[in-house]
Amino acid sequence: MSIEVLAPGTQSTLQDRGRAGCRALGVACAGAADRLSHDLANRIVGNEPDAATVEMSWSGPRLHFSRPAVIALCGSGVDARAFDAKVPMWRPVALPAGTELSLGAVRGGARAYLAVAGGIVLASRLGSRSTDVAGGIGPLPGLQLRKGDRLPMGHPSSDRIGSMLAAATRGSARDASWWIAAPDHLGGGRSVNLRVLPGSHAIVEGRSTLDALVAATWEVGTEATRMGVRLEGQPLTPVATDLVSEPVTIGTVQLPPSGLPIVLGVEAQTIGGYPRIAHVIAADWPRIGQLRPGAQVQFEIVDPATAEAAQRRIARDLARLDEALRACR
Amino acid sequence: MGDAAWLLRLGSEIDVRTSAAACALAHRCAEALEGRGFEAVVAYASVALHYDATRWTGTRAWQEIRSALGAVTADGMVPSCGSGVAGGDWLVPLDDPGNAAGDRRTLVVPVSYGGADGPDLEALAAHARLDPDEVVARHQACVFQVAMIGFQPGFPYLLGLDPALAMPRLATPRARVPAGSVAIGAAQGGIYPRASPGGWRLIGRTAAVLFDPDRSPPALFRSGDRVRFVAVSADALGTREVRIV
Repeated sequence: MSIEVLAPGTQSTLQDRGRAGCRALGVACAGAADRLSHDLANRIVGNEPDAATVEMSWSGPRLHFSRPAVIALCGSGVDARAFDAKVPMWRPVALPAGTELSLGAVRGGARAYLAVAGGIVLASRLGSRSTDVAGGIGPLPGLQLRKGDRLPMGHPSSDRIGSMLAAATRGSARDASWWIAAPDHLGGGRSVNLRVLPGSHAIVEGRSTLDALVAATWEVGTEATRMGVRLEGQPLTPVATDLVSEPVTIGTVQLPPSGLPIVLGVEAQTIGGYPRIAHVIAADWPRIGQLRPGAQVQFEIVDPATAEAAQRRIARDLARLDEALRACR
Repeated sequence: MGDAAWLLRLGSEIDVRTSAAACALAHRCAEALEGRGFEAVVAYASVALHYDATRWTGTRAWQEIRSALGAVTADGMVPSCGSGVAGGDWLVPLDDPGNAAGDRRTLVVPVSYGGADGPDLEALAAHARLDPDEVVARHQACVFQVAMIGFQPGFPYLLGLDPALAMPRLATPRARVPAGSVAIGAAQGGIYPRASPGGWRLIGRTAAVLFDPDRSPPALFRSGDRVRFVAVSADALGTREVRIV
């Protein structure tokens, strides 16, 4: 009982919350590039936050459901159709057996997420069902979804979703009467604000490269992958280039000799040799995963207290959402 | 490093002594912080301690790290590059006895040198003004040390190359380097775990599997390991295993 891939889309992969714990082996964290949208999609269908979802970049796959399913689509806007009707995002949708779900272009940002109740239960690799495209680790033999792949679905763990599924099986499914509001991190055409803490090389020989970074407006270049995003604009004056390689992390803003910054993504390598002028705070990592070529990026320096407050706000919003979802029947 | 990692530095040079201390510090931190959601990643002269920002605040994470390090190291640490800024780096005393390298494994890796397995051996010999056999002999005489694992899952950066064998990387990287290629990049050694693009000089190849996500442990090498190479014929390559002594 599974989902069959009829067409894969531009770059569709399975992702969860990432493969933390393997960086000492040179293995990237990977996981959903926009973990917040991934988490929300899982919550809507009653999954654990670490259940695997389908991450679609730039455009989505075409999928055939051999049995009834309850799904949720979150992230950047994606054209979704089933039985010639539009499939709404940010809410649970019951699909009867035999549904063909067509996911088209992703608009506004870069990525959207499809969660199915019960999750996609392929075997995990190194403790995670996430796909590390560059590192070649993932639950699917081709790493990315390919035509003919079958994605097995698990069993829904929530009663609420279970009863929706039962209704879908009887052929009497109705759309849920509720949905959740799209979070505010999804860019969507306007300028994207990334909050940063200073990096080791923010100030070199009395000159603040960090100040120059925040004074400028940047544009996302054509290389915007899960590994990192190259920015374009007026090049900054490069800082010391003969550095000994040191660890880097998701959100690290590197300054290569070109003077054009690179913001590292969820598939960031573990060690890098370029100066690190700043680090995007963890609360804003999902924004990095939604950057698409041509988007405007502005950096803002914050202090650690602000970074912690941003984390607390996300945790509080998710706790409130969980509370509200428990009340939905 | 932002609100998701702290960086400890032991120096700013690439040398065997600093690297050995960094590896020892990383292993010590990993052990002391086990089960608390930290990841220790070692580079040549530094150790990053990554933590989950949804679980720890930066300040709490720092308290955990300091107590894990023990009084001797913690009291000797001073703010490093980026000092004065929040989340800055810290310089750890290199001579801290806690960072002395303990008993270490030596892995002996069989290599088929030259020919199709090492297409750059001749060029490297010419660059070094040595006979190719002399390059192979000198390479086997080196006792390497795994400074760090990076670039690809399981790729070991090896210090301890005979300086006579150093050669700059290719100006234009190869589109495809075969898995197991034993390589030299400037003053360092390395082995490619899987086929990938790469700019290092290829002098031989091993059949050893450096990384397999379904094996435990997945990576053949650990930071701090000693590594030696031993020549075998291309035909015998598949039959010879890595010896750990």
